[in-house]
Amino acid sequence: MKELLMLTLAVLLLIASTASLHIQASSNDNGVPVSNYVNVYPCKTCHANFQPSATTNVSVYHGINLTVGPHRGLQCINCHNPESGMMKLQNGVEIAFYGLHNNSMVMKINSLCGSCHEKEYESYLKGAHGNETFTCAGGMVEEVIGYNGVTYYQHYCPEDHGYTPEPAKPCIACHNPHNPTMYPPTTLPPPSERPPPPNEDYILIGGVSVLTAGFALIAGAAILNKRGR
Amino acid sequence: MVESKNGNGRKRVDENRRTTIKILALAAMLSAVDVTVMDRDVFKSMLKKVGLNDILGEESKFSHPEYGTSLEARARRKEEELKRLCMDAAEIICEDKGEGSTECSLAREKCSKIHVKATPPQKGKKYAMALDVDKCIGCRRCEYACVMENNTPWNMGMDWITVLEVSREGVAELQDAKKDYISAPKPGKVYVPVACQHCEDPPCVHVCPVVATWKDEDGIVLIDYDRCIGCKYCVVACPYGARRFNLVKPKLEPVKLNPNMHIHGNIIRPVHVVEKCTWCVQRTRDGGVPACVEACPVGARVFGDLNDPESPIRQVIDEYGVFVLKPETGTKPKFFYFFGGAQTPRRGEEGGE
Repeated sequence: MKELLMLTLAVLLLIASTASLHIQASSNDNGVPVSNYVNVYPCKTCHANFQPSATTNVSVYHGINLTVGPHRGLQCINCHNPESGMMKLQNGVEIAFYGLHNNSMVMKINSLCGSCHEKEYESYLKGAHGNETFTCAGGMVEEVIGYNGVTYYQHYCPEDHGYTPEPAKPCIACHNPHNPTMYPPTTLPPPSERPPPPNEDYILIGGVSVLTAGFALIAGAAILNKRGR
Repeated sequence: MVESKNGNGRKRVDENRRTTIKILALAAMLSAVDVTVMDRDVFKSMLKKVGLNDILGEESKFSHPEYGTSLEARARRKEEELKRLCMDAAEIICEDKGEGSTECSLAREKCSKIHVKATPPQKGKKYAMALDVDKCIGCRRCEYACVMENNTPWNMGMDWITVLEVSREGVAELQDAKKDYISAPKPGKVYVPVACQHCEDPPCVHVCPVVATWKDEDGIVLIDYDRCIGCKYCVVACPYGARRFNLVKPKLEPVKLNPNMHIHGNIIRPVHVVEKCTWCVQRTRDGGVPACVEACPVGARVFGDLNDPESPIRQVIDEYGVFVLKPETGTKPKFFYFFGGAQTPRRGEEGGE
């Protein structure tokens, strides 16, 4: 049994090492290096002869469940093209993953989202929905580790003039197409190393004690004044 | 004089004084009531939504002539000085971490990249920003991006953006807003990031005794840090609490430095001057967007040119209608807030419906 396990591990390692040779290191538009991972990932071995039923509502494939979420009730073929073995989308673009593929490839999917969400797509193109950024000739984006370890992307432009604004992220960077609700990320503490503000209870106690002391002083002064006379 | 020695005479004088004081006190009370009580209808009319025609009709009276060769020369001088200071700081890092370390080379590279611009405003532009209160989740990522972009010191709470947690129900009172919340977004709360509102009629500009702050042609309120004498009149005058005063000398950290600088924007500020949000003048005057717009993870912020009918800001004003903070002060802010409708799910709520 142990030998079998070792053998499987060795085979897996071998596959992984050969696969890594095929990965061509390239970088996407933001300067972040990505690999053409999908070329070696065996999607096409299954999808070449893939004939899904057009009436399948609950999809068991890849753990996708289309009975929940805002996209519930949609069929697979509303977005995927069955003639290409589901490897292409209904707008003729091949499937691409954010972070694995070049940003320009993933950006092509946006028009499919826009075919239903027209208003949002128009806002997105104008820069009023989602992030907007700018590019410049010969420029690049560099990651800087800032305060509290929060990363910040700094723009470097050789001339620092003539920026062109454009939408920064594709739709699927924030919205999972199979369950597109965007959930809030973590909340960061205020960016300041100031000492925390004093406790409100202490302020109350202090105020009351100061007032009491003041009254005591006044009363004392009045009594002493009377006695002095 | 004779009567004053008489007991009756003194009493009469006392009575006269007493009645005068009583009448004066009554008058004061009446006038106080007169000032504090405002007609409810008048108040409601102030809180109406701002329309596009109202905004486009507003004209600023202020301008600042000094752009050109003299300012450019000043920027060059500043650039040389900053490069020298930065190199000194980089040498300390190199001594600490070693000559071959990445920090050392990074710091030197950043110092050589420092570029201080003196870009004048573009003709015919008028910038404005809008924020979707429904989308904002109060995660403070805009604050962090602002701090990094503008070379703001962290040690004194100098962050230019303050995110306030306000109750969704009832009247939103800024006095009841919470600044130091830890977990967000909560159900029944809205998050209102407040920074400089770039008013059309800015009170801070009115009170400056040395004309160190002004409203530019493109709608950005800027400060000349060399002119500022640190009297803090503008800090008091601002109804939004947007201005900050540099109490300590800011630290220059070469590794985290943003080398793209504007002389009226994110240049390293000297000690004892007032600073505030500049809508990232080093980016926007060259066609970019402010850092907070870029960093917002939910896309709540919209920035654009009011005079361009195709700009996103015009679309937002047309579609949703916008409101401003403290309209009763008559400052006519160019920072708008709106309720976009589509809410980001609050933490702990069932989303996706």
